[in-house]
Amino acid sequence: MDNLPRENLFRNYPDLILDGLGMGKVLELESCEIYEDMLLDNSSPLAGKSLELTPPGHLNSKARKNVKISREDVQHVAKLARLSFSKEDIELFTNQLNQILTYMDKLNELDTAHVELTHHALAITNAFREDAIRPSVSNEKSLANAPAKANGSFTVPRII
Amino acid sequence: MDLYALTIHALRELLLKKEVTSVEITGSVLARIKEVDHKVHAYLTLTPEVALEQAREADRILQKGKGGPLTGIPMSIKDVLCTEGIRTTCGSYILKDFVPIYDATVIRRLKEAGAVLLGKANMDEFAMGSSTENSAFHITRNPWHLDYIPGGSSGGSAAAVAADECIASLGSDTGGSIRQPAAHCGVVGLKPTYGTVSRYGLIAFASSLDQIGPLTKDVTDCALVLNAIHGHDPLDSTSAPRPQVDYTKALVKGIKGIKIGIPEEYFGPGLSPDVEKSVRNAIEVLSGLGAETVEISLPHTEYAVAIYYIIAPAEASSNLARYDGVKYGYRDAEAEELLEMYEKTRSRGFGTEVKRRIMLGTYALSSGYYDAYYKKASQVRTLIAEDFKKGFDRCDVILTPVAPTPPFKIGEKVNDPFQMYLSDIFTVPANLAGLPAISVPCGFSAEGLPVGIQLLGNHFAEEKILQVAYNFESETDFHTRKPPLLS
Repeated sequence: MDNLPRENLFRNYPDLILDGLGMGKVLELESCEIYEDMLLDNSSPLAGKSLELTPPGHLNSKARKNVKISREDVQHVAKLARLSFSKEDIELFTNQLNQILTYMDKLNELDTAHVELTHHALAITNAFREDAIRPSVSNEKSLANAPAKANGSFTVPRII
Repeated sequence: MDLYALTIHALRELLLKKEVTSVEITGSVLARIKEVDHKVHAYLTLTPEVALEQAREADRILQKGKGGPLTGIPMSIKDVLCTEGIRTTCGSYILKDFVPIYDATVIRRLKEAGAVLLGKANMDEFAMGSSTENSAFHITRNPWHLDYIPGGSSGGSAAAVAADECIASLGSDTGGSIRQPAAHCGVVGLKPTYGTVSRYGLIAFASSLDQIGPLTKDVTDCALVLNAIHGHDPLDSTSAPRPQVDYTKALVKGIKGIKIGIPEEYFGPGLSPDVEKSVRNAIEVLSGLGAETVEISLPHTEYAVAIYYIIAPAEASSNLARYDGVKYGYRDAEAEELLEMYEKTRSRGFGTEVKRRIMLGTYALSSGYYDAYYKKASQVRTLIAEDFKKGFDRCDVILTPVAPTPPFKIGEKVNDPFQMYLSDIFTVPANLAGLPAISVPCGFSAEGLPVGIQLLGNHFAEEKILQVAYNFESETDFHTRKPPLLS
């Protein structure tokens, strides 16, 4: 990212607009990873800043009591997940996700302030192996299922 | 009896006595598939040439007096497991033409054991579903009644075993996907302890919950298949570094003094009378054999579905990020720019249930909601594990129903995902706590559809649940009955 001119930096992230910098725009960050890159990138207007993040859709949700997730939230989450939906599907998913998320409220009946998190059911430690050279997959095999390839590489539609 | 209708161990005896060959067995099963699969639709891909070649090779090995219990035995494989050179779709349009360049560790082990691979069994897309109605390709029907679901997500595997379209099968279980279809189709299904079977080459759904396991015609076959597929694998960093076990040693008569825990929370008002009757009868059978029943409590059971439907979609949303139309799988050809290509590929490639879970998981992990959903669920997951820990202080195995109802009709719940999720209540706790659990046929509903009991054991106590299951099976004949519609 360091080498990209600033105007190009955000080209692929049209909804990554900056706030808190006197730019008068709304902040909606795509992901923390990009956010961290921004702070490290000297050409970014975010360079050296630290920001308080507002969760996407947070204000919307607050405004609508009894609603877990708004239509706008669903649209935003779809964008994060690289999915797009028809208007009808957004409506349907908003209703279904609200039903499911309301059910999840059950968990708040329990006080878990002093309960450890379980990420794996069994005590699993790092599994190390010798750092030895092993045969790896050939270029040809790696590309065997590629939807498009050229000159021993995967090809994709234009990025910039 | 026709060869296709036999168990692994019965066929093994015939093979050892040289009364049959693997080519004959394989031919019998292939003919059976031809006869009934247009009704059941258990398979997505059939590989008869590969199967017959493997059968010929198995016969050469057997001729030399070599080979093991699985040599020459025709099996089906859930299409979630990578098979080198054989299309592996995971029930999804996004992988409709995907041909893996390597075998999953379990496939490599089955091949080394001399098993014959018939083809790939249908499943809910990415193993997300409880009815196999979410397959992108077709619906599989319950061999006991073709208007009913076979369960899911390993519905193709369970239906294939029940309809004698294979001798045994492999499935995967993230929240009940082996045990529930096994119960609904009247066959035996085991989800091993997390880490017992390598997940290398298993297309990932929820990595902290997924386990591969056998679906078979009886408990002895279950132990034989588990013998072949379990064991440490350096290619799966979560696989348990433990010595190999011979699970058939657990198959001994006698369960006098074994303590069977009955958790009150599994016998609430949501349980259908048909299921309760069969399960209560199973408890009596085991008591009659000298087992001691102990009332126990697993008080956090009611939270299991909420935990599961946060953690599993969260892990899935991350695991399924790899389907971007670049390295393999479907790519939308219309898109002119990269981001457009990602979005169109994923939106057209994934089915509705998969998208719903990606959305749910992405939301649960998104900035500002992580603590409320993922963190909270991971904490209550600890309470579920502690419930079982306390439970196993008082008993050797825990007995419950597998599903709250018998199989439901095709189409009945497909438009109500929330109701479908709730039906996983009795199977998800074992995945959340990483415990082994087996489903064994225990009766039939009024409509003649199979019902199963679930036996759960402590971590790596597969032998204990196999022993109890074996004794139950020896005392009953539910596992020997065949679907009348197909005979």
